[in-house]
Amino acid sequence: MPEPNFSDARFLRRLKERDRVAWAELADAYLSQLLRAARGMGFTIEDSQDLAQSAFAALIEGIGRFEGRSHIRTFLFGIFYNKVSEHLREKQRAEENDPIDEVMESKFDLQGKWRQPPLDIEKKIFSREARQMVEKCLETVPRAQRIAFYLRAVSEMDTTEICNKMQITPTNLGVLLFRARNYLRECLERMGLKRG
Amino acid sequence: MYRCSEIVRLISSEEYLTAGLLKRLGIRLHLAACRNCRRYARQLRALAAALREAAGPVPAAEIETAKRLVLERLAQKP
Repeated sequence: MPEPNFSDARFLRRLKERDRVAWAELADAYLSQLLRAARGMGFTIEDSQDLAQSAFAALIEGIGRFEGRSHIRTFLFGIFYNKVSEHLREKQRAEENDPIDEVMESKFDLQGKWRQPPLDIEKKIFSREARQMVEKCLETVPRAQRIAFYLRAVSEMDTTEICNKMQITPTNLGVLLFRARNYLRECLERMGLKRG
Repeated sequence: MYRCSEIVRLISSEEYLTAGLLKRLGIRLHLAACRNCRRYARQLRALAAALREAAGPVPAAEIETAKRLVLERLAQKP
């Protein structure tokens, strides 16, 4: 389904006039994307709904000030990511210690060489049951790490933008990404071992 | 020359993105010589792809609820 031309000035006017049909079109186009993003970042169904709702509510309120200089999707997602970061403000800095750090240290000998070659997880990743496995493993990744990883790998935001949104330093982001990736990789490696 | 443990950290934290030329060259040299780290780097790329796949479509009922709420919000007095 081709996306309607939301950048059209007439469409924008209809939004500003709170035209129900126009808003329904916009909701059809982007609500599923917002919900999917929130779920992907590890929010519960309820929290995902709240986030999507508050993003749309803010858009309804703020549409009068929107001048159409950026795409409305960009504008909406900007609001959405702000809501996400408000939701987390307290907990998003990387903890000083995380169990994965020790796991990673134990993988290398005193010369910093791999004790054992990293096991092949690619077959697992691309196998049929991979999706469930990955989802299961994602659940073991702490929230802030998961969000950082999601914004980077799926939203493909640049690192500066993620730091702004999450209000963290680049060093902190590096720590979050290191941990998220290695948690996920370790988990898949373990699952691979179990299944032989 | 970098150690494997350092390479793993540089790659997974994406610190290499902001690294200077010399550091990048060091990483490249290590990867060229080290099969294990090459494999690790390849796996991380696959992980990102897997993450994009993992978030399946949102159930239609959830989207409907969300849409209804949005339209209710719209109907409220500005």
